[in-house]
Amino acid sequence: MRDPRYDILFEPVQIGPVRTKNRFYVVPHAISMGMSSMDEMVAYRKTRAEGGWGVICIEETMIHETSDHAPLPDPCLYNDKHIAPIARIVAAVKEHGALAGVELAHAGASGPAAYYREHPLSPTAKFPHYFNNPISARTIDKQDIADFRRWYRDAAVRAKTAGFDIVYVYCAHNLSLLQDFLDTRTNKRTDEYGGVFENRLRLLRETLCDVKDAVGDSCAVAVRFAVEDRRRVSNITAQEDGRRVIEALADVPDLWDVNVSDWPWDSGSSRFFEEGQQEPFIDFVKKVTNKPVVGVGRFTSPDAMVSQIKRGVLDLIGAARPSIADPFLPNKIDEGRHDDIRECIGCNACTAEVMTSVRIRCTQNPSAGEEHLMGWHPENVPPADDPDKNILVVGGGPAGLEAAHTLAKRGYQVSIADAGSEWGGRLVRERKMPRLSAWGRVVDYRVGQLQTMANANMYLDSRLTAEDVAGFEADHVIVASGATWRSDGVGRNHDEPIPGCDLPHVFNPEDILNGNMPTGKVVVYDEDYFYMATVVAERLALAGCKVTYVTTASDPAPWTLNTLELVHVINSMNEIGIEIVVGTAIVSISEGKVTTSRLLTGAEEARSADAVVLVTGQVSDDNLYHELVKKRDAGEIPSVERVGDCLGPGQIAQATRDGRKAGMQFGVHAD
Amino acid sequence: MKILVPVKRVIDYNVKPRIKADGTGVDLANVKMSMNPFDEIAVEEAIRLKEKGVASEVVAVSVGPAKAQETLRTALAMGADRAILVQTDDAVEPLAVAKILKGIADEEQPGLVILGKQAIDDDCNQTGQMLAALMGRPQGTFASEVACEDEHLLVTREVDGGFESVRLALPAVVTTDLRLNEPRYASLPNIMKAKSKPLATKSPTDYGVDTAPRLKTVKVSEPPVRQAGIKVPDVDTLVAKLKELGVA
Amino acid sequence: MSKILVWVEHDNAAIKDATLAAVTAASQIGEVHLLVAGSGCAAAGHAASQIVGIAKVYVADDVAYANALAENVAPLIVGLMSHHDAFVAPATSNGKNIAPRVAALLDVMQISDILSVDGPKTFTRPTYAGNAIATVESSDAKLVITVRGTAFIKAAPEGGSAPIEAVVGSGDAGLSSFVAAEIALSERPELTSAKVIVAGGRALKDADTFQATIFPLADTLGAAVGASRAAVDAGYVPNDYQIGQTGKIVAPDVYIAIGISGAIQHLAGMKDSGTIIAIDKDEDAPIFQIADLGLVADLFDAVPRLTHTLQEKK
Repeated sequence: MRDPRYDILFEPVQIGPVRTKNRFYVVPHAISMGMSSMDEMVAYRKTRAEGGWGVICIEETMIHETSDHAPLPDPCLYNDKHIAPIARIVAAVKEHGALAGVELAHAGASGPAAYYREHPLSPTAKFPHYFNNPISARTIDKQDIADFRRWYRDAAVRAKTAGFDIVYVYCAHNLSLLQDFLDTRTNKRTDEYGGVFENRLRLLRETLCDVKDAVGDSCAVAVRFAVEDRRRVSNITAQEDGRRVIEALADVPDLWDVNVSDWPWDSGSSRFFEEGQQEPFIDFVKKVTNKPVVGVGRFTSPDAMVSQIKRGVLDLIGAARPSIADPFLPNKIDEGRHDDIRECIGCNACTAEVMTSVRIRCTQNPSAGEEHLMGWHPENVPPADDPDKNILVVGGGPAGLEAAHTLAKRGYQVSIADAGSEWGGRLVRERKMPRLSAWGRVVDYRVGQLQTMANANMYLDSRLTAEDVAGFEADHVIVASGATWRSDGVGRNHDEPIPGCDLPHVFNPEDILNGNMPTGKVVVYDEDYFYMATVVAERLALAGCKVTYVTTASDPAPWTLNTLELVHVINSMNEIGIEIVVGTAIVSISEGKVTTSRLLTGAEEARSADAVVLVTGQVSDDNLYHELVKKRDAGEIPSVERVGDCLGPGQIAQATRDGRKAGMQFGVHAD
Repeated sequence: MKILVPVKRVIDYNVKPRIKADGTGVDLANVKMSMNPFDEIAVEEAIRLKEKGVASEVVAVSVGPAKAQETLRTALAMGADRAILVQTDDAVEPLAVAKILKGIADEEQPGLVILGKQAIDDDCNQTGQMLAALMGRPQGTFASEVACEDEHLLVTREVDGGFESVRLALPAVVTTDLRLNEPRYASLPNIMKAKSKPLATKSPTDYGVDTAPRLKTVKVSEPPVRQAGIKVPDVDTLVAKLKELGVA
Repeated sequence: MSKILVWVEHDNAAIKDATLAAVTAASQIGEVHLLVAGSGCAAAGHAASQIVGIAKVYVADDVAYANALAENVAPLIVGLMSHHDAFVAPATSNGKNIAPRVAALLDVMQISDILSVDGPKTFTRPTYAGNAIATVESSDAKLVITVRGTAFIKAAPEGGSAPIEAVVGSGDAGLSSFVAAEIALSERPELTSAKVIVAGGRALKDADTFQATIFPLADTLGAAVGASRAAVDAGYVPNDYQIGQTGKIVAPDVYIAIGISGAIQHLAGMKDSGTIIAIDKDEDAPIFQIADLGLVADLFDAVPRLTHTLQEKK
C-alpha cells in the first residue's frame, strides 16, 4: 500500500536513549486547554498518536508559579500533584506506540505571571514583552538562578515520573527566560550571566546539563531553539549567535528542535509564508551537530518531507498545524491514501483560538479541540441510523460541503446542490483574491472526497426554490446558502446606514470579488476587522488604485493579531503603498469625497475619493431557510436546519464546524 | 430530424478503479457510477442541435442494468425528450450494443446518432463505428465540430496531428471527442422534472440480439509501475525526441 | 499458418511508424500480408514491400481510398478477409476509425489497442485509462485487432522484398467525402482536451516569469498551459490552471512539466499522460521517476532555448 518512495519517512530515529517508530513528529504546540481541561488535553493528544505520529509533544509546561501566560492556560509540572493528571496524557499517547515529549518552560519576562500573582522574572528588570498588565518583571538574582535551575531539574524529574520519553529545555518564540538571557536586548547583566556570548549562554548550558543529569539516563533531552529572531534586529540570527548556540552546545542535547521566532514567523500563515519557509534559517543546524534535528514547515506533502530528509535538512518531520488539520497524516501516507490527506490551509484559525485563550480549533478539521467535548473523531463517524434516509444539502460552500461529507461518510443518501457552476460558496471567489489561494483546499478536499462517494450526489447550476426542495422529498434539509456582503455600511460602530452609501461610486466586497472594480483614489473602510478589507485594499492597489484604508479599529484588521498575521498585514500594506488610517470612522459619503471622524477626538476631515469600498459585514442569505420553515410547519417537509454563514456570517472555521455538527447530530437521538 | 443518443453507465470519472484481489476484474461494488463523459458530450451536442432547430427530438438510449435508469434520467435532465433502457445485467460488448442500437435505429429511424467515442471503462472505441457499419451509414468519429448542411453533415474530426473535415450523407453516426463542447450540468430541478419524461424499458431479446460475449476476460491486473525513462543531455536532444513524438 | 492482413497507414509515399509496430504484433500471430490502399500510392506499396518479414503486399489504388475514409476502405478489407484469419490495424486515429467498421461487417468483436500477444487468440489491452490491464481471449473465428504503437518494437522498414499484388475494391460507397485537412487550431486549447500540455511549477519565480517562460513554449507547440498547485498558490496563474489531485485531471499525449518537482498530489493529476517530459534543475525531483524524458537543467536557460529551437524548425 505504501509507496516505497516514502519508506524513509517510516524509519525509526534514535534520540538519545529512546527510539521513535517513524519520522513524524508532533512538535510542542499550545492548544489552550490547561490543567482544568485534562480530559480535553488527553483526547486531543491521543487522537494524534492514534493517527500514526511517532512522537507527540505537549506544549510549554510551566516549571514554576513565576511563569505563566495568563489568561492562556498552560499545562504545569511545578508541583508533584501535577504528575498524575499529566501522566494520563503520556499513557494515552503511548497506548498508540508514540513517544511522549514535554516542553518544560519558564516564560521569563514574556508573560505577566498573573495567575499566581507572582512577579515575573527577567535577566534584567523590564516590562513583560507581551500583555499590558501593570507589572514589571524583576531582575533574577543569584539565588533566583539557583532556584530556577532546581525548578527545571525538579520539573524534569516529575516529567520522567509521568512517563515522558523526551524532556525539553525551551528557548524559543521569545517566550522563554533562557532566550531572554541570550538576547543582548533583554540581558544587560554584568555578572557571569551577562555580557560576552559564553556568559549569556551560561544559564542555557547549565539548565541543559542539569536536566540531562536529572533524567538523561532514560529520557531524551531536547532543546527547542529559535535560531533567528525575525521580529526585530537582534544578535540572535542564523549567522551570529543563533549559530553559535548550536555550535557551542552541538552534541549536548539529544535532539535539536529548531525554528525561528517570534510565533508569527514560526507559524506564519499561508497568506504570507509558503511551505518550508524556515529552511534557509535552519538548514545549517544539521551541519553543526551530530544529533537528530527536527523542524517545521507546514509540510503536508510526503514528497516535501522526503526531500527535507534526503537533502539533509531535517531528521524528523516536525508538525503542529498539519497534525491539527490531519491527525492521521502519517497513517494515510503509510496506507497510500494520499487523496484522503486533509491538508492544513495555513489560515491560523488554530492560533487565533489560542491567542484568545479558547481551546484550539481548525478550519479544515472541525474535530480539532472537540475530541472530548463533542466526542468528535477526525476520521470515524457514527453510522447512519437508516442508510436509506435522504438528506438534501442546499449550498456547496464550506458548511454545506462539510455537512454533506460527514453525512455521506455516515452512510446516508446525500444530495448537495449549489446555485453556482463551481463548488465552494464564498471560496469560489475568495480563493482567487490575493494571497488566499491555499484556502481553496477547504473546498478541494471535501469535493475530492464527495466526488468518489457512491451515496453522494452533487448538483451544480441548481438554484432551488422552496417548492423544488419540498418536491425532492428529503428526510432532512440542511440550508447552507451563505451570506452576502452588505452595502449599507452597517457594522461594528454603525447601527444605521452610512449617509451616501447608495451613491454609484460606493462599492462593497461583492463588487470586488466579482471583478467590478473602482479606479482612481479609493477609500476602503473596514468594520469587519478580519482579512477582507485588507485583501480588497491589496487587490485594488495591485490594480493600480491609490488606496487609503480606514478603520475604526486601533490596528488594521485587528483579528489578524490572533492569526499571527497583523505584523505581516501592516508590512505588506506599507510595501504596496496603502495609506493606513486607524481609529477613524466614516461619517458620510458624497460624490468625490468621504467625511471621516477621529474616534478619540471627534475631529472631522474631508478626504477626496473617487470611490469607497464598504467592508462592514455580511448578511445571511436565509430567505430559502425561512420559506422552508413555513413548509416544515405546514407539514410539507419533515425537518430543516441552517448552517454556516446562512445561520450567521463568520469565519470559515465556523462554517465547517456548523457543517460537522449538523452532519454528526442528524439521526442521533438523545435519550 | 430525430437524434438517437446512446449513453453508458460507467465508473465515475473521479473514482480510481480498484482491481479485485482475485484478478477477475475491477471492483464495482459500492462504487460511484455516472454517465460516460464522452456520452455527456454527445447528449449536449444533440440538445444543442435541437435548440438550434436542427433536431426535433432527442432520444437517449442505454444498454445496461436497472440502475442505468439514473444515467438516462441525467440525459433527460440535460434535455433529452425520452429514453429507452435496454435492460440487462450482463456485461454487453460493443458489438452486441451496436446490434441492439441497430434494432432501435430501425424502429426509431433517427436522422443522426451521436455517441461518445469510447467508454472510460473498457476504452474500446468501437460502438459508433460498428453501428454505422451495421446501419450501412457513414461515420464521423472523434468529432470536434458538427454542422448540418442540407441533407449532409459536416464533421470536423480530431486526428493524429490535427484536424480534418468530412461531409457525411444523412442519416449518419457521429462519435464525440472532448473538444466538441462543454456539457451542461444536469441540475437538480431538472433531474426532478426528468422523472416525468417517458422512459421505456426493453430487453436485448426484443431486438433479437444475443449478448453472449465473444471475448473472455482471462484476468485483470495492475499496470506496471511507470518507470523512469531516460535523461537527455541537452535541449537539442530533447527537440529531436519531441520531433520523434510528432509534437514538434 | 494463419494469415494476417495489416492495414498500412501511409501518405502515398512513406509508411507511418505506427504501422511498423502493428507489423511486429501481426507477425507474432501469423503470416503478415499488408494492404496499401490509397490514390497514387504505388510508392507506398513499394515501401511496404521492403518491410522485413512481409509475405505479400496488396495495393488498392483508387481515388476513393485517397483519404482512408472508413466507409470506402472497410468493404475493401472485408473482401480480402475471406482469405485472412485476422485483421490488424495500428491504433492511430485512422486505424481506430476503420477497424471497428470492419469488425462489425465480419461480425467479430474487436480487440482494441493491444499491448502484447499472449497466445493465438489471447492479448492484453489497457482499460480504465490504463489503470487496469485486461488479458482477453477471443472466441471469434476471425480476429480484428488494433495495436498500440508504443507497445511493440517497429519492424525493420527495409530489407524485405515481398511480392506486390494489385487488388480492386468496390470504390466509393457514396456515403462520405473528404473535405479538408487542417493541421491545428489557432487558439490555445483547453487543458482537459489538449493533446499537449506545458505545465509550470513553483520554480517559475513569479507571475511575469511564468508568463514569459511557459506561454511562448506552449504557443509554439499548440499546447495548453497548466500549473502545479504551488504555482497557483503563489499567484502565478489562476486556479483553473491547476493540475493535480485537487485540480484538473489530465491525460494528454504529451505532458511537459517545467520546474515541477512532482509531488504525489500533482502526479495524481497527470500520471496517465502518454509521454511525460520533465525539465527541472533538481535531479532528485520525484517527477523524474515517472518522466519518459528528463532534462536536468536550469529552466530559465533551457526553456527559452527549447522554444527558440522549436520555432526555428517550424
